[in-house]
Amino acid sequence: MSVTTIALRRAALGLACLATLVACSNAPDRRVTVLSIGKSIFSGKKAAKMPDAAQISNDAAKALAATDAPLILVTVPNRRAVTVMQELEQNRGYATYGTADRRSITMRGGLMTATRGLGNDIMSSRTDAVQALISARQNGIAAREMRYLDGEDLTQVRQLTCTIRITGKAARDDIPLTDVTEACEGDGDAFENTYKVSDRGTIVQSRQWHSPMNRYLEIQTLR
Amino acid sequence: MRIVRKKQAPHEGRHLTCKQPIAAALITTIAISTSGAGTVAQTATDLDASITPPRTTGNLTTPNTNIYGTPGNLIDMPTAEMAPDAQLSTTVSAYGTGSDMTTRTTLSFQVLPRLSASFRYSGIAGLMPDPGRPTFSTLYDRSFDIKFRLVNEAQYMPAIAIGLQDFIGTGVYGGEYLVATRSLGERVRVTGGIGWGRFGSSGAFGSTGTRPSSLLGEGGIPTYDRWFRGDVAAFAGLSYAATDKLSFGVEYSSDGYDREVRDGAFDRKSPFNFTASYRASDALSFSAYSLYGSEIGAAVTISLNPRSPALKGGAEGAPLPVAPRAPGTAADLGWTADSTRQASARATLASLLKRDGIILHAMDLDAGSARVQIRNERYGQRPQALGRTARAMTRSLPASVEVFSITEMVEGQPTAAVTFRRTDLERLENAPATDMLAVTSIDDGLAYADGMTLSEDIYPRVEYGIGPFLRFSVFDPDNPVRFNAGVQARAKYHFAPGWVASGSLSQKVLGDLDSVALPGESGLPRVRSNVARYSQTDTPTLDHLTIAKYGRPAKNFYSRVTAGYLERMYAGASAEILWKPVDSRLALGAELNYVQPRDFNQRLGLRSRDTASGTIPEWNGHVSAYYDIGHGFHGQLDVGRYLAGDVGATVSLDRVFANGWSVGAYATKTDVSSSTFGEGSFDKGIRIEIPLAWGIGTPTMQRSKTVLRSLSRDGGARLDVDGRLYDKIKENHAPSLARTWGRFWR
Repeated sequence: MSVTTIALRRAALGLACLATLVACSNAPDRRVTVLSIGKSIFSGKKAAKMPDAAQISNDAAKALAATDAPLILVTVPNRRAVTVMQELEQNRGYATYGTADRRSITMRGGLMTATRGLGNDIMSSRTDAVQALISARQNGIAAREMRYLDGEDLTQVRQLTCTIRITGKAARDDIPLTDVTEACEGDGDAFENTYKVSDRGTIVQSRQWHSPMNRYLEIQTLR
Repeated sequence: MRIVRKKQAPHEGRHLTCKQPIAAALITTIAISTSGAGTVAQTATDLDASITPPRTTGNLTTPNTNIYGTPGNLIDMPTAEMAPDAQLSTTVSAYGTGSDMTTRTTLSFQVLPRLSASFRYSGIAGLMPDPGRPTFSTLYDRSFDIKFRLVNEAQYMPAIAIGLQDFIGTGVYGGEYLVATRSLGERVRVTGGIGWGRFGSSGAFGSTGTRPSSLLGEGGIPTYDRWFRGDVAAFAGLSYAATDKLSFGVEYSSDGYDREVRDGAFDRKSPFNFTASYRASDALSFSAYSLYGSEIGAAVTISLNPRSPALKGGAEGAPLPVAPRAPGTAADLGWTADSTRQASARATLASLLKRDGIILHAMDLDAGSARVQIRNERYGQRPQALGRTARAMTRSLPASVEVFSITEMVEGQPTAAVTFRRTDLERLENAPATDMLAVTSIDDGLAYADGMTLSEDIYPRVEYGIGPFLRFSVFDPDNPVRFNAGVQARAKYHFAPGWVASGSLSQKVLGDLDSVALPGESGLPRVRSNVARYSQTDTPTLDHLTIAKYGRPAKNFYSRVTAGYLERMYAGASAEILWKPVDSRLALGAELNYVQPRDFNQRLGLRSRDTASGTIPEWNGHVSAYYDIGHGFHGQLDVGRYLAGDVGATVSLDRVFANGWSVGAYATKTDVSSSTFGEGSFDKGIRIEIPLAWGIGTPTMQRSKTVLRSLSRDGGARLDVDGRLYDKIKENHAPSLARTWGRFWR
């Protein structure tokens, strides 16, 4: 076998793979290409540029004007992403907020219990015990459970023990706020959430652990 | 020896285009190397099938492979290390240059935390053939290895493993060993062992009996007569992980390279080998070797692990949340008399589903319950389609509708029907997914199929596609890779429930599959071995043109009848029936085929059934048993009459992952003797299925299927008819739903 033949063969293989990119079909969901797979297996994710403060407040003002629904401002520092989410639904104390591009966060009493469309999503959580301490602004220890999908798509249950501590006092727009820290550990995970809690027990701002991929989410109640 | 990597003709349905991507990645490396109304909630085990089990993590693992492509940090010598569970790696290694280059391409799979299996294709330069064997300049040979961890590393105990290398067939690389590896701190591992065969060929300190050298059968069967016999020698090695990416190894080898040295193809100046490995990413690593003081070598390894997807949980958009009903609204039945409100509920549901890649096939709505049939075109894990449909129903149907039954349709026929109470959906939206499974009932959808109103535009409908195709033949004795590439157009016409007309036309553009040599007389009619003649034509070929009818003759029974040009080589008719209760782990099936061989040019003509070595029988068929063993293992047994009229059985075992990965092997033995069958003695192969959603992070039902198998021999050959029933429906049945239920609320 000559060198040319080998080269030709390699070129042909490459071409055939490239041709997959232009294959057309009306059959549903058949647009997967070699490139998209290669990219996701062999390369990391590109970091986006963090929007500046002016742009964020501009977006928030626009969202506030566009709807009467409750809104939250969500920042994912690890991915340099900021978005405003609007409340879509309330179900037995759980409020689900979402964006037009189909990302959502579900919260119960200000604690994030589930997300969708963020990647490495929290499928569901049990947070009632930690929430009781946080909104009462009490020191104490409580259990927390978070459920994820593992790489095989099985449900991975994380049991955590969390220590809640009052760490300070602050105020925003003349509303007195208490700084509460929740340090959790268990099943190989360790993280520390922080909350700003009003005198009525409402969490107005927080930094909460999401997942190894996204790390912490910063959530601020806009309305 | 030969093996065909068969790219399944992209006929079909869910698996239409693009099977090549990952397969192509694997193959490219080879090319470059060159040279009852019962609910499922019956037992706790079923309910928890979707929860990550506590894993017995084997210790002393490594993602690295040695020059033979098996898990380990040394060079020629084995270690007691294992790869991480489920790791699938392809290693291409080479030493020597030009026509003196020896290459080894190895696929290794960590079957269980303590069991590793490898398949290898080697091109060994400079060996002289044994007397009476065909002449060659490079010996192409394939081999299988297994390694089992006897003891895990403990405080005072090293890890100990036992292994067989090249234990099936000619045994060019044949050797057995017992090896211990011990870690010293985080970075250093020391290995010592004793070996027989190749591992006992230099510096032997004793011997256990005599090692025979004659071949059993025609090769291709285990060389049990040689195992742990003959000279025994000791080997040792040490590896050092300098950083997470860079590691080094040194070994004292007990492999004398006797045959290579005898034939003048190798100069063994020293027993010491050295390596340096660089891990560029989880998927890619490179190694360099210094061998026996005379040669240098290099290797590249591509590793995939079914448990490491592109993105855990996927990147697809959020589902709509459940819309809970306001208190008191459930009593309002005003809508039942209002056809406009009914029509609008249905239209809303259909549009919500369509947004999620689900087609509303048919529906029936009454005051308290709704039955829908859906066609899932997107989600490999069926519970995800069910969960999204259920939520869309809470957002579109009147409040008095309390019971939702959802049936997934496959080829126009109902599979399982899954029934929820709306109150439970509202109540458990934020609870663990298994809570919902516990109150879900799964029945045969046939019982729910009467009186449904079909959606418009369901029939008739056409699916078509045009794209490239690639057919490979690899591991041929005189040429490692051959292929044909070209353009393929295909279409499916669904014209009534269960009826599908389907066709595929292709045009070869380039390739050399036509030069595959015809194997010698086998004593069987040539039912597959003249494959090259089917690749010779340069005019368009009709890959298949069939009409099929899928049916549900009775509860728990599924049927298929296919007629026409069934595959590239045969036309005729095929009928299949399958018994599979929705909550059963066992399925039983039977298939009967009538065939006539097609013309080599693959147009509309047929040719005579007579071949030089016999007449191709008109009838063949099988009875099959399928069993979901649990722990992710699936077994299948087919017993029947094969294409050439030989009678026998095929046994298959696959490890199936909840995310859709599947890695397995099969073997077929029929009543033809090894000598009649020819080289390899009997048909066997390895098959790997990769869901593309795993690689890209968004849901799709596309899969990459790769089968590595013995080249088209005539014994143990089966008809390649499309649309076999078990694979079409098993994902929709209770055992599989329970295992993938974690995605219900995704």
